[in-house]
Amino acid sequence: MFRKALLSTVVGVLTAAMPLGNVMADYPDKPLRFYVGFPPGGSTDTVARIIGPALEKRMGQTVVLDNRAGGGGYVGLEAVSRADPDGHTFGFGVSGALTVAPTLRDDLSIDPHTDLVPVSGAVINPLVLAVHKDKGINTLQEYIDAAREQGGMTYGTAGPGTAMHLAGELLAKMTETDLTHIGYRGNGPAMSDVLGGHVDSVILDVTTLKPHVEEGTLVALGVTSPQRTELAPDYPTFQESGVDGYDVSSWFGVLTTAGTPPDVVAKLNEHIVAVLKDPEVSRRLLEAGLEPAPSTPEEFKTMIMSQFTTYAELIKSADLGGN
Amino acid sequence: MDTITNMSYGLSVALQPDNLVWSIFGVLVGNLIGVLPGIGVLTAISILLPLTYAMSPVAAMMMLAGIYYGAQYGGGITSILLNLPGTPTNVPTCLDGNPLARQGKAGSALFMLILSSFSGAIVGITILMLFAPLLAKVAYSFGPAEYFAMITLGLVAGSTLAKGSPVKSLAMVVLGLILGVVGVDVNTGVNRFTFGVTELGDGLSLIAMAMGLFGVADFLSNINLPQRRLPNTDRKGLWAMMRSTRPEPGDVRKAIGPISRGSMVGSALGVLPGTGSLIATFMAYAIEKKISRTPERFGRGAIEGVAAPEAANNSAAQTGFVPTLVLGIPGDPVMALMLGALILHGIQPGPALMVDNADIFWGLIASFFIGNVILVLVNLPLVGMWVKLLSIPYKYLFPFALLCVAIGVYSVNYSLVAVTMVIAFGVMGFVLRKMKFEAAPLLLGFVLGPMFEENFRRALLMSRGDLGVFFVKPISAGFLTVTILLLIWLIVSGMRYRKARFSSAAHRKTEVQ
Repeated sequence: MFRKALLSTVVGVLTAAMPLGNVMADYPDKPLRFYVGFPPGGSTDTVARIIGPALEKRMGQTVVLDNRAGGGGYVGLEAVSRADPDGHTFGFGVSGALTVAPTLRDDLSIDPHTDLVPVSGAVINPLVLAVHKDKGINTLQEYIDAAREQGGMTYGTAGPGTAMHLAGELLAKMTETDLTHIGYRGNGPAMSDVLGGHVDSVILDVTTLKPHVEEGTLVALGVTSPQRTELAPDYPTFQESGVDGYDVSSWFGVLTTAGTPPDVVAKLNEHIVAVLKDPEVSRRLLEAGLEPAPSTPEEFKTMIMSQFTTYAELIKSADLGGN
Repeated sequence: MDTITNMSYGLSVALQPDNLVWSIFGVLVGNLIGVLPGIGVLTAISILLPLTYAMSPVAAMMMLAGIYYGAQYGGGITSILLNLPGTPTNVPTCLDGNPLARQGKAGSALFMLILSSFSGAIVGITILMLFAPLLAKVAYSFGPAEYFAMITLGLVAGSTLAKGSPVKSLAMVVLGLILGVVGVDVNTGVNRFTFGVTELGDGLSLIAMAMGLFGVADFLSNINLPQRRLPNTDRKGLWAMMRSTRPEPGDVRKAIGPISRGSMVGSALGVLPGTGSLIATFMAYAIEKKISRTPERFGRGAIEGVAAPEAANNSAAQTGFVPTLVLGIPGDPVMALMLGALILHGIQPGPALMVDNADIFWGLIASFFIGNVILVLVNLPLVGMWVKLLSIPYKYLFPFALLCVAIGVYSVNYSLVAVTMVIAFGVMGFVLRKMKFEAAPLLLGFVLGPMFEENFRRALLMSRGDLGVFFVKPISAGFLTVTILLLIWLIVSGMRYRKARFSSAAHRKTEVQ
């Protein structure tokens, strides 16, 4: 506590000594608010609690973490969009909310592409397709064959409209198999059903699945992203297993209020990137099962928009449920 | 014996000064949180989570777990004194606990609360200790079909809870099911009845509903009577209450059966994530009422009606740790938060946790024992103080309780939507009460409704629309058979009751003539 107080005093004096005038020089000049659109304990929250204190140290201002759970992350994003556009308020956007929800849902209170400004990518949370070992399926190809023979497979995810759901639909479409989506409320119940053999397979994040794969109860068939993951380098990608061009990634990034001056966005980006590259921060992120993935605001925006377009086409052609 | 070695190792971990202090701190905070109406365990744990960074993972888990089961103790206290269920699993405690308090027996009800909570918890911990890996298998042998069947039984049993008309009670279950529909449909992602309010996407708030239907509705009924204070708050009455801080003669003997049945039901169902503990609590109450020779006392201050559900929810709070600790699959949001704390410390929860981090597993179980003893030691002397709380004039006590409710509900998501819901449910509860409808079955329907639908549809998706799936699987078929028998029994006894009433009415008529 004392150290923190001392630090902020020192930084405060230093900032006060800087020439006043443009916004940039003063930024950040008050406590920062970091919205997390999910409840504490989830992976977004974990990341925020790892990078929050590091940002605080670096930016010399208190970073207040604020969990505003609900609406698939939209309660939090809405709060960010309504803040003053001065870069002191920012929040996490997850891939599903930014690239899938705008097509699938007509109840969004904000347009995430115009009411928010991308600042930087934060982490990748790779997705894995897994089955129970008793199924006797060991590769993606065997899974596809089995699905064709049995007239279909069921796969569980943490809910409809998530990147996991989309990953399953894309697999079904590209391999022309009949895969039935079973939505659960979060990872927990989906895991419990695959361990009990009630659902044929699951698509969940690597962190959730890995301990059960290591223990031998589940078999990991592949990762949905185009590259293998540092977190489980022995899992093949879907692409390697013969599904050419398959790419669904799950990530979180930081966004701030629309109308924030570009130089402030750049400054915030600089801090976030530096924090994500910090060896201690990245070690803790990897331990928690998340790969750091910093980027520039432009790269982040391009990634959001290109995935949004791809998925929008997929959703239309696969005639996915939703509004 | 392995268990003994493991347990003594666990005790050695739990008794390390650092761990012991945090564990005691956790149960005390939990107890307090339970007493403060409206502030949920989840809120408390999320506020205290940052504190755990500086602790060892073992101490962190002990503290967080302490908050969790400590709240179960505390939640019963306000149920009895103020008809405000501290957590939804304390709802059945209100049914008889509050009437007891109104009869000036708050002290003996509180004593029973502590006794049954402690006994339930000890049974739960013992079962957890001996059978954890086995119970984990039970937990995941429940798939959608099994959940659906169990919930069906829960709903039918729930309609026998009310003291009044079973038809009205069934109507309330159905109303609860309807209210449970609000929110995002988990199978398709479609928003239902949210009217563009983002916060409603996650459904109506359970805590707001419990607070509104019980506490606020009670308040609204009472302000009708301006002179009213809670009974026995004059000097003489207070004295009578103080004397009753010991159990009534025969209470303990009467409670042995309910406590042991409640603990068994709680331990068994507590293992099932999400639904288990709530169904267990309602079931324990329903069972006692069913087998009692004097079911008409229930809802009017039967001590068994406090003992059974409290034993059930406390044993369920302990066995609820099974999926979390054995498989690393969080049973509810609070458990998810605890696992989140482990992840922050670089420990990956999963099936290997029990072996790789034996200090966490066994240390935690040992700390449960210690924590529960502390809870009794703290709460027993406090009974007198809690009872005295009732001597505060109603006009000060209740507005203060309402303020706590508002702050608590607001703090869950910093949103006024939830506070609005409390008010709306309060008004609704008041109207229902005037029309002699009871709130407990409604709450049960509301909680179980979404899971009822979700699991039904999920089971059918998996069976490709074949309804036979519910009767082919043994567990599900078993639950459904019991449900059907219960329904037949309800209809037969209902008809007999009507016939008896009809003939006695006819009899009286002839006498008059």
